[in-house]
Amino acid sequence: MRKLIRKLQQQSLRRKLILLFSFFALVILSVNTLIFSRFGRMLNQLGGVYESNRQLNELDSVITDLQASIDEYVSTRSFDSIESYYDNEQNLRNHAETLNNEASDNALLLAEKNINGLCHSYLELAEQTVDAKRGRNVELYAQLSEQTEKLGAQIHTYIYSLNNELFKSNSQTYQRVSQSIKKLELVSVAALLVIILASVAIISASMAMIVKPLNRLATAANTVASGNFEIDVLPVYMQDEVGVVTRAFNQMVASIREYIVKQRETLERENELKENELRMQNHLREAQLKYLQAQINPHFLFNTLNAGAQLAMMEDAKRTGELLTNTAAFFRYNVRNSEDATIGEEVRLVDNYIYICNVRFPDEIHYEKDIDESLEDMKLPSMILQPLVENAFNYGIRNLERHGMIELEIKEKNGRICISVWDNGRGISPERIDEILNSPHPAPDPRSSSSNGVGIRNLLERLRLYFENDVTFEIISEGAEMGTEILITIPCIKG
Amino acid sequence: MSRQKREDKRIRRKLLLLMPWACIVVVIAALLWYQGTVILSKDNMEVHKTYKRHYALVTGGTDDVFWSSVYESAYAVAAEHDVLLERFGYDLAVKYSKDDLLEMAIEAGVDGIIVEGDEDERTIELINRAVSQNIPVVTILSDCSGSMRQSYVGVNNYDIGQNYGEAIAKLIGETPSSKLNVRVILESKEADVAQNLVLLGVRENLEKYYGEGSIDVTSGTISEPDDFAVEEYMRDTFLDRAQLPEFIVCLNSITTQQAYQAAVDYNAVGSCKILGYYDSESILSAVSKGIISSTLSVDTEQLGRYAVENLNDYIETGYTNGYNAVDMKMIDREKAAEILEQRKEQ
Repeated sequence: MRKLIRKLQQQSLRRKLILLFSFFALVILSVNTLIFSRFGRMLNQLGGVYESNRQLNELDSVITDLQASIDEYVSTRSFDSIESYYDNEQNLRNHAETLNNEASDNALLLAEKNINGLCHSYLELAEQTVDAKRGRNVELYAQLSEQTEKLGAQIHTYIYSLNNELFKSNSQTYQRVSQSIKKLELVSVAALLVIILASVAIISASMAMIVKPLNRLATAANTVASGNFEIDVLPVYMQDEVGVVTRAFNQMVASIREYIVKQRETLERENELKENELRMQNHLREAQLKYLQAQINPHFLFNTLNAGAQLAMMEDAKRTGELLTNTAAFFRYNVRNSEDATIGEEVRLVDNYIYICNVRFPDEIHYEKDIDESLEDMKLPSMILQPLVENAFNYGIRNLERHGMIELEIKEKNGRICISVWDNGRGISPERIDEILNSPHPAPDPRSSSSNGVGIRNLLERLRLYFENDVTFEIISEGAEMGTEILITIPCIKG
Repeated sequence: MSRQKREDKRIRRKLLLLMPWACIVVVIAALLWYQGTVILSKDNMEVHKTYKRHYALVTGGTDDVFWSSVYESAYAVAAEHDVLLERFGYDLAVKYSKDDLLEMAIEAGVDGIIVEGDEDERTIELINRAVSQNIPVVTILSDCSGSMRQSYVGVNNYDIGQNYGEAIAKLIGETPSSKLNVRVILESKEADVAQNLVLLGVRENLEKYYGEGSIDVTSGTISEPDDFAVEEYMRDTFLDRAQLPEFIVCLNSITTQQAYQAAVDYNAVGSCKILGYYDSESILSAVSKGIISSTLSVDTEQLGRYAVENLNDYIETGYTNGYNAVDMKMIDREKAAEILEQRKEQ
């Protein structure tokens, strides 16, 4: 049984349904066949109930006919009558053969036996009568004819009595069979009803068994469709299409889950990589900054200058002392080892630088500044203004035959700080401006390597890093010998 | 939910699933079974027993109660020996005479015949024909001494007469002052030697007690041996008070019943004493009430048994007893009451 169930579970859904419906069709067909066979049997019984009466009547007729043919032969001795006698005699013999010849306690069968015996005696007597007639023994055939007639009459009586009894018995049988047919009608309806109800119940149960995994699958699919992949693995009981789909679904959910985990891991790894990269960039920038700062951080020079300034003061060389003090202040600013500064500090550094440059190149630089004092405490990265002024001097007005001029202006405009460094020097071509500002890898700035200052690019990058890109930087030059203006706007951050 | 409950639920579910299957099996089984019962009850002719031999009991048209009793006992004995005894022609639509029935039994080819004998020539001829056709014949109750019958089972008719004579003498007592009449009722067809012997027995016995002439023993003959003729005869007898005998002797149960019925109807109980035949319930009841003075009882069980056994012996061995006497007794009022009581208890 278990083996059969297991085998059934392995069948396809289509085959299972075909098997199920075929089985119940077969059951209903069998029950119908059984019922029909019962009805057929009973109708046959009903039809054959009075068969025995009919046979007896036939026997009775045969005896009558035989007696008539004997009488005719005895009186006419015609060829037709003897032929008729032989026919009827054979007929009676055949009929007698069908009668019971055993002693039975059944009154009807016993009567049949007696009729059988009487018929045989009758046949013998008839034969003797015919023989006597043939032998023309008048006295004998007259006597035998009378005996035959008498015996025939007795057989008729016997048949009549048996017929009556049989009719009574057959009537009872008829009634019984009729009642049985009525009962069978009820039984058949009840049986069919029970079979159909049972079949419906079994088919429903089987369908539920087939549909249950489908429902489970549908529910699970809905859950997955709503984005929840955390579902239990669906059990697979059957090996049919639903089983295959369920197994594929389980596999699909597992694959999706695995894919999601992998994606998450990949994203996490990418994020980590990006973070590391950023961190590296930061470190790099920091390193670059520190490197740049290191480039302009000559401690020794600063200390020496300080000592020189003190010596000049002691020797009363006032201008030398002032130069050394400014130079020392210039380098002290670099030694500060601080990333940010105030606008005031930056402006003072520019002042120191201009003083030094004026000593080195007398009357070459005419410097003017217009500073909003309220902005002196505002923060910005260190070493911003001095390199701009240094660039303006080195590439703008140095060795200029005409009168060189540098202007520094710091104002507040629309809540932002506007820094302008202007010179009336040689100017910059638009191509060079574009290269400085936009090229990812600009050609090495000759000014950044050859000067003591910090390159424009470095300056711009530091500003962007410091103010998180909230910086505008413009280089304005109207052409050769038309001077250059660098305009920077930065947010106001109080120091 | 506990494990036990889950298990219970699972079993319940399984049972619920099994129920429709069980219904289908039960319905199919019921349909198969139903067919079987119809076949079994279809034809009562299929349920019967067959026997190795078939005997016929042929009796006269009267005294049905007596012969029924004989047949019952004989049938039982025959069945014990795997023989079927048929009361030949009993159920036929036409009432045939004893001789016709005997002839029909011979023509039907039975294996043996038990017949109530008489001395009629035709009876003798038929018995001889049966024997010549190897059908053994046993006469019963009354013999057919002139025939080739194999055996006779019955009572000595002269003894019957003697018994009646004894009973009448007992009722008369001492020699009566006037002449008394005793009438023995005979059947015309069977007014043969056997009945005459009874009459002789009565007469001789009474002469022994009272001498010749004091008791007039006569016979009354019923013309046709049927119930109506007997009733008619009794009516005539009891209506004619002047000719009404003091004693009526009946030689069969029908005559006995009709006689006591007439005695009651015509208020002749006591004035005409009835001596009956056979011990049926109604006769015994009449005896116990004094309507019938006494009744002669022949042992019907012995009659039937001996007849069947004699036929069996003859068929199986070729020999049998030529004569078997059966017991008889007179039953008076006291005995009748006793017998009735005993039968009631049984």
